[in-house]
Amino acid sequence: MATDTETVELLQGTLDVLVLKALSWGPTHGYGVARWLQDVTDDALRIEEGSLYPALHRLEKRGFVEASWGLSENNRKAKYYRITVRGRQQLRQEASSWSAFAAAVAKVLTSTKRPAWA
Amino acid sequence: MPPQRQNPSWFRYVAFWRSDPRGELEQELSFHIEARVHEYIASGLDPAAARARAVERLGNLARVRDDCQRIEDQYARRRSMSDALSGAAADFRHALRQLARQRAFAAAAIACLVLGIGVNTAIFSVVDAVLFRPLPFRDPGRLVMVGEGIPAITDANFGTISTPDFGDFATLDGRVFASAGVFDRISFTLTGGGEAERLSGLEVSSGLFRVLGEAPALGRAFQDGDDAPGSPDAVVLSDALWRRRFGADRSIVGRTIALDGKPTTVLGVMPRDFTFPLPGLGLEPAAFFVPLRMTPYVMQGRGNSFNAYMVARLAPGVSVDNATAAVGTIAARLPSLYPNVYSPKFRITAAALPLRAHLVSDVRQPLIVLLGAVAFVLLIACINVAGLLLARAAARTRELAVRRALGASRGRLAAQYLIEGAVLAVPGALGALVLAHWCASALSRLAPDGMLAGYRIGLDARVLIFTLGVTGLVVAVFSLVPALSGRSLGLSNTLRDEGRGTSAGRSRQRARRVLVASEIALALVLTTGAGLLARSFANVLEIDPGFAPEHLLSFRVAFPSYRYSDARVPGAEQALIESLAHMPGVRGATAAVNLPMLGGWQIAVSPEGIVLPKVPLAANFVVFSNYFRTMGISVVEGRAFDARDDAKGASVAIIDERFARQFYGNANPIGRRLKWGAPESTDPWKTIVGVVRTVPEHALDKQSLPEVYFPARQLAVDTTLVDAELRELAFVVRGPGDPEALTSRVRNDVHTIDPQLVVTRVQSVESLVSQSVGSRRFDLLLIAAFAILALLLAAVGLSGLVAYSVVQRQREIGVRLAIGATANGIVGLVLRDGLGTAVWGSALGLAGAFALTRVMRTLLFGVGALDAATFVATTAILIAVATFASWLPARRAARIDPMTAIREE
Repeated sequence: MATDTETVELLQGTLDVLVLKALSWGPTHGYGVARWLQDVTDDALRIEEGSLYPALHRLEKRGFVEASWGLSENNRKAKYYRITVRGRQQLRQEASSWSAFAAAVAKVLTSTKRPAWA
Repeated sequence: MPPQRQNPSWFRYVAFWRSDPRGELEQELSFHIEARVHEYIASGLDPAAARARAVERLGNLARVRDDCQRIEDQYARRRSMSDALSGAAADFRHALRQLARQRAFAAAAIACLVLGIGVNTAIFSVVDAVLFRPLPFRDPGRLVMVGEGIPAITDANFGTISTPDFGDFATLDGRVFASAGVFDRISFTLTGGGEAERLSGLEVSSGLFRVLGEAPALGRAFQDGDDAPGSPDAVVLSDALWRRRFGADRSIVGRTIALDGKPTTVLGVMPRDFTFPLPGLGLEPAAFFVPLRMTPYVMQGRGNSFNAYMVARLAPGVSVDNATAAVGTIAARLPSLYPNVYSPKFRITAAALPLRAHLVSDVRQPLIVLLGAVAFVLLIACINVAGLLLARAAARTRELAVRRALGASRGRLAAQYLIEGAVLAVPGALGALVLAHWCASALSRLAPDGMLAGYRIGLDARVLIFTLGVTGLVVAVFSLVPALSGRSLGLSNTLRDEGRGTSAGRSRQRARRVLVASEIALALVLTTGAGLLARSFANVLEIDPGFAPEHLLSFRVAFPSYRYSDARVPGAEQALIESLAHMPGVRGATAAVNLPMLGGWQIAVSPEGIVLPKVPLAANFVVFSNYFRTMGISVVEGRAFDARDDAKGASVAIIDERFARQFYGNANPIGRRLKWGAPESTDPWKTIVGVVRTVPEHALDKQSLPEVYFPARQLAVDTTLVDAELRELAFVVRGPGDPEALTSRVRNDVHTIDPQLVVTRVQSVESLVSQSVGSRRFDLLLIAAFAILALLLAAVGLSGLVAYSVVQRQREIGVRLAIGATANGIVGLVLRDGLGTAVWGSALGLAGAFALTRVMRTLLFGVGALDAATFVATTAILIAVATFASWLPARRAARIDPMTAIREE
């Protein structure tokens, strides 16, 4: 578990793609998404977990995920979200543009080329 | 779930399946918290701390709830909008599919709409052009005509003025009138560059076009000075003449043409859409315009002839009443200003008359009646479509009941009806426009005496808006009738018994019956109106004209001054009459200044020795020898004009029977004397030598003024009169058979006398008689056409109603046949059903006709607005049509096979 100083600020709109990625492994509930994100990032993102729900609902309205009520592992009623075909398309698109963006940022930060003014 | 297209459109009303978003969110969040708490406890925290951390980790819950709610709301809004759209689209597709499946229904409904809206649009385009749309001049609401009157002769305003008085009225320019103009008719023979032709045009004051706000399309209008005595002869051509005679040659401006042999400079050409004068003054559209000069001869006509038309534009802020007061003051001063022409005993009055009201006074009533009649046709067409929709609605009762049960609101069902109506209305309206275009051009061709000449009739923005409005109204009416009639249907009833022969079905059938009955009522009102007009027309045709128009050919010949001096004219005219009379196969020939049907001169006459409150007006015919014999007008008493009545003989006159009765009663008028003008006039006394039958002065159906005849040769003594009035005569020849067959021989004969003489207006006198009732015939034809249309539509409506009820009673009829009813018995049963409705409708229609035919009282002749015979006859016709309309489905009913009918369902 990381401390507060080590958490990373979440870029606007990034949460949606993270949620889609989480659901791409299979249907789960909001808590499942939160846990998975926590695990794979070693809790580096420290998302304010409540904001997952507006994101999930928005994705549902846009047709990227479907929701249905089911029972959790310990027999509690929970709302499960399943990624749709359109959701997977969306994820592919967002993921590739994210990678391109991240690669570009990385290039800048790791560049050794001296600018003209220096 | 995302919205899915394939859902039936009522799916979205199934509200009880809908989840409760707020409760669900709370459930989700509490699951999340519990799961976290569970996890933290497992990692060793105590329950209270675990709960606190879980809640903290979840963050600001209030914001989460708000965000979710906002998403929920946004989505609901978007969904309701797209729902409405996709609902309308689905209804639209549904409606199209329905129509494609029911082609006969669609065709019937669209045909009704095309007919109803089409004829309405056509009639509206005419009525709008004549009555409502601004006249085709600049700011026409400010235009007035000025007319003078002499109360000592008649209380009516002449509508015209004596030309010289224009100079007095024109002093009001700049105060009461912004501008004023005057015009009078004139004819010229146009020669050079083709066959000589006689043209009717106008003499106009130089400012007339300015008053109207119209300028030539080519060249210039008249300016002050163009009408000064002695100024060069000049002419402005009408567009029609310019195109026809001069091939639209733009270089015509500045060139000279020969009018009555005089070289006349063309100053300009008026625009194509300028027609003047408009119908309503009894003048034909002018082929040309020449300056009106106040010559000594014209000035001499002051107080004698009132033939000029004065038109003026009111100055800003001046009302028609102000103008009437102003011209009245001037008129009252005329006798003291011109004591030698206006007897001081006579009062002269004048009034300003709004131009539009003045022009349409004769056609307003018929046009309004037509518009009303055609609205009836529309109403019937509308009801027919409503009836069709209602019948279809009955077939769909179950579908509608299910939809209501599943939560479709009344509004939504009404919207569906509206969309279905609109799907019918769009092709209906388009077809109607095509029909209207065709009808409007047919109307302007068929209208009598150029009644519509010069009006811009056709489909323009105003007419399109009218069509759109009518269509919208129609759709609203016929779509909502079934929607409303379905309103009261109990859902459970409908579902239980499927609308077959049950209360629900009957209530619809009752609604349809009311519609068809009202259709029949409307048709009966129209038919009765048409019947009254037809009887009037028959009455008019039975009028004895007082002369024998058969075998008579009339035409006009003018003897222009450049070839015939004033002194030579009467001789030349007499020579032509002789020559015509001696043509082989011609049984008689004569000439006159005026002919029956074309109107005499209106003159004041004073019978000697009779004291009258007013100087009487008479219709004056100036005639040549053999007039009465050739025309077939019998001489009742005394003699016709003969060789004695020439310039040297004693002044004589012949009067008609009405004149004799009105002024001499039972006394013998032969030998009594009368005088042209007031008793004080200087005209010589004329001795009455004969009494003849009365002939119609203007039209068969119009009461003539008392008639008085003068021999032309005695009037020709006055050379100024020759120049003004006797140069152009109407000639009449009587042949053995078809008078039109004489035309070419008559032309040849005129041309042997002088090849430059122009024969114009060749037509049989019978056609003159028939033209005199042209507007009556026109009104009758239109109203009769509408009545037939109405009858047909109502018959179709009734037939459909009966046919439908036969289908509904199929089982019952089968049972009846099975237990021994005869085919005739079944026919009777069905006929009674249809006729019951027809009788109700007729009773309603008779009541309507009683109330409404009085609006057409002015159009009737010799028949009362409540003529019993007509009412009985039209009701009989209607019942006959209704019987036939019911008999068609009745015959089918009798052929029903009882076994099939009973077994089915």
